[in-house]
Amino acid sequence: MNPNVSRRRAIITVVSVVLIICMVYLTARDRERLTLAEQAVREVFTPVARGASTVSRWVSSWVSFIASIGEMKSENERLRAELDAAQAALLQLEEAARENQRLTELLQLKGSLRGRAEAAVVAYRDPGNWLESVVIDKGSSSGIAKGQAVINARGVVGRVTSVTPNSATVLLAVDSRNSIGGIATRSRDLVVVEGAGDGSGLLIARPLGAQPDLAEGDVIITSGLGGVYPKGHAIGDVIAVEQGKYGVSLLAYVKPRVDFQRLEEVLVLVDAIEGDAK
Amino acid sequence: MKRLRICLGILVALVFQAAVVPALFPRWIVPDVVFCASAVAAITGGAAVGVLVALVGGLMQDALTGAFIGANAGADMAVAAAIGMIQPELFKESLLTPAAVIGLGSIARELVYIFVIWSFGAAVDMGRALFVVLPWVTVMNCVTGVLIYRWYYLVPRARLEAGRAGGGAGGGGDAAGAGRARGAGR
Repeated sequence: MNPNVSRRRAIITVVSVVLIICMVYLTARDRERLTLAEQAVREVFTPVARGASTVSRWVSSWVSFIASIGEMKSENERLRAELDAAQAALLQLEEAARENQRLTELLQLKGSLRGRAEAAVVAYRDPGNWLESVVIDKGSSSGIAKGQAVINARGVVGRVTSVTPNSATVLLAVDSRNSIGGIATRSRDLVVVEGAGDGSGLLIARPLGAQPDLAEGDVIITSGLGGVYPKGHAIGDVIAVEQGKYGVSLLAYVKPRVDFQRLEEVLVLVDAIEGDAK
Repeated sequence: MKRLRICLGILVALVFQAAVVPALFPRWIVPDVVFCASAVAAITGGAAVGVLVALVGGLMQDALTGAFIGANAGADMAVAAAIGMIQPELFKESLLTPAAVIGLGSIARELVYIFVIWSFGAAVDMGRALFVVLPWVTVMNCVTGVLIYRWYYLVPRARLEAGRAGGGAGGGGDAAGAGRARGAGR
């Protein structure tokens, strides 16, 4: 090789190395301003790179999406199963909360009674369409006997009509065969409350006095005179008053306090006479 | 015109390196496309071409970084010069040649770069650098470099030879590629 060329190359190499070292040294620390060349490179590069990056991300996301369809399907099925399980668990929890509230109310009611009361759960309703009765899960082995009153936190439920050692049939207050001695809290008029028997779920209150004073909104409670239901338990609210046949008697339609369609826990007043509210 | 094409090629390489690969493969180690281009240029065209590409590409890369200006350029240039020195002895018709040269060159280039920035105060996790980044960059650079080499050198050369074998009738099918191949073969 020509010595001049070789010498020139050596000089260029040394100068380049020195220049590079200087540049690296000068730019190794934070700088307030970039050089014009750097600014120009960045100004050109930045929008191009941004566009390329956007397109690449778009492509990447689509490729990922397509590649993950199979995985998404199985994941979706798994998540659905988990969701179903979670919803079932949630329903159970809500149910438990509702049951807890009802039992708490029942417990408070039990505590407010003088006599012994036996808590029971409605096992099933009468399978037919004609009788308004339910069967509870406790019977004579728990001290329950025919004729005992059955209540819950809202009011009068009915009375026991038959028992087995571990179950009892409760004739609901809305059955037309049931008669409950009641009293209007406002006028103190005595009434006999019976089931309307027309499928409306209402009760009919028939006053015993000669000049009854019943009005819409009156509250009817048990009078304690019939021998079955202790005094002071709510029966229902008068929602309408009308003249009976021939215009000589008065009838009041009473909406029961108890929701018989959603009856689940009840209290059987084992000591009927002692079952008055305190 | 040729310089403009080199600059545009380097810009494309930088866009690929800085924007496309990180967006397509977010957690991957990014190949050093500029280094691969300068290495391929050095293998096919000799030290002068390789160093020129390394200088321009490295400086542009440094300009984008904004720190340690010249570190990339210097490391790329040193390796391109070294490749250029052994270039006449290389067997250029096999893909194993660029793979081996670029692999070894990548290791050397990264070591030089790490040494330079470490010397000027940058904190470098040597364990990660040597045992994670360096092996992966080497592999990625090998793959990228081989692809560039094939596209830039082997394919045009094969077309040129196919054209010659065809009596020159189809030889003008890829004039640019043939020109590149002729230039590279010098």
